[in-house]
Amino acid sequence: MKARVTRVGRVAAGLAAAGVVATIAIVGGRLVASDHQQTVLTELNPRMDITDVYVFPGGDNNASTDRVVLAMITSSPLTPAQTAGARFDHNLLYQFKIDNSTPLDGVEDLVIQVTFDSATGNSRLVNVRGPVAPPTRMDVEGTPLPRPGSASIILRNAAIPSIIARPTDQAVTVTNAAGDIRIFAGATDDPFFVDLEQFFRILPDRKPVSGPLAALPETQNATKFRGPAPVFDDTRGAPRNFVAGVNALSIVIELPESLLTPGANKTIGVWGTISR
Amino acid sequence: MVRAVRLYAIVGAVAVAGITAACKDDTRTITQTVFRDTGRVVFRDTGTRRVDTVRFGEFRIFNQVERLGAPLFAEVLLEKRDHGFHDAGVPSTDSVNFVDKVIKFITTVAGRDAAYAKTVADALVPDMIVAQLDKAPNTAGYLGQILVPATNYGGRKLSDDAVDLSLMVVFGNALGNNNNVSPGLVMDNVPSDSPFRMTFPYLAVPNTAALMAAR
Repeated sequence: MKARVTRVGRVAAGLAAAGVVATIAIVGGRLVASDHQQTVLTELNPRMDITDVYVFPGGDNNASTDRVVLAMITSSPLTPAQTAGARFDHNLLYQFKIDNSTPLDGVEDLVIQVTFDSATGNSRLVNVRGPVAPPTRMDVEGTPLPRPGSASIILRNAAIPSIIARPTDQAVTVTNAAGDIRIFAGATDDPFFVDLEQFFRILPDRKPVSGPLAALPETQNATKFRGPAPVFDDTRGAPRNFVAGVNALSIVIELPESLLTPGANKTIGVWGTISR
Repeated sequence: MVRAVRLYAIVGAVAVAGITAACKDDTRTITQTVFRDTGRVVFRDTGTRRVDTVRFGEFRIFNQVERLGAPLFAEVLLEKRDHGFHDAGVPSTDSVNFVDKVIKFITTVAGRDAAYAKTVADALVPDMIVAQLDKAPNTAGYLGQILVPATNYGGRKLSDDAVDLSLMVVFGNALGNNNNVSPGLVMDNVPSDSPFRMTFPYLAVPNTAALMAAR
């Protein structure tokens, strides 16, 4: 904790020295990171914005050899004040897609669909369907279209595994024949960290269209990240993590690996999507 | 602290119409009924009927507006005008759509040679987080399955410095090429500030005004 205070103090001092506090250093303003606000659409509609996806071993201390965690971070940045009232959009379909082919081919073999209802507070429901093979799409005459596609329908076969849990914001565990499935959907810290201001000075094309960072120059005016001289840019103060103290809405699902890799192949490719 | 959580699992076949599951917690009862004839689900919450936008069985086409696999793949390697195209797509067509653009970025913006650009594109396309679930959990870490494929789990941990790792690939020698590296671009010099938890759901609790003031 002491190290953190020291670091932030140093960063604040650095920014003040560089004279950029007034225009840039606004925690909770618009910002961009790993995939934060990647397009204008997702920037201006943060519930549609996946900012990060994670895949790592489950179990306490992440030490399990047969459980895996899929996490999707959305809606960042939320200030602490905004966090209490923030909730997932019940009009959107949140999905984890899993490729488990040998070799991996980028085609979704399994999908986990997550939806929310429109209630507020503790009566909120989250519905997790899957993992199962994605539903076949039909053309207008009812003929199945080949997978994959970026159009999705809700899994509606009553035989598929479906978990409806309430309230959100609390971890729940469901016993499955293959092992427990754990679900969390709610507010968390945003786990990402990056010096965005300098990133956008180096790649100005990627900057957002709103908020303080949008005011950065349109053309490249840095060729190095901030850091100690001489190899880094030492003219703009200390580097600063623009995602510090920022919250997000996260979906975390931990499940037995066997549900994602029923065959001999144990290598998976994972991506997250949001559809409207 | 943690209140009793009631949940309903419809696992396996719901073979009969009108299967009803009911549960109780300290304040209210929710009953879920699945009507097989219409596929519609109606929640009854102490008598209050609530029908939601996304219904079990509703035939509605959802159009994908956001996609994310590997961190920084689109954000760094693709121009912003391509981000919407990437967001609406699928990994199986990434090779056709984006390999040339990735190679162009690596050879022009990063100034690397064509052979290294091809190596980077091969490593990052299609855009997915790849995990070798049969490897030891303590070897998990972003790009590990590429850097040490024989033993490393890969995937992506919460604490991974995805920015530095990605920059090391693009501007450094992470994939084994020292030609024209840019030492000032291989790390952004900021560490994680998040106190991750060792138990589910692993992410740190939301920041509060009090937590912020204490820093």
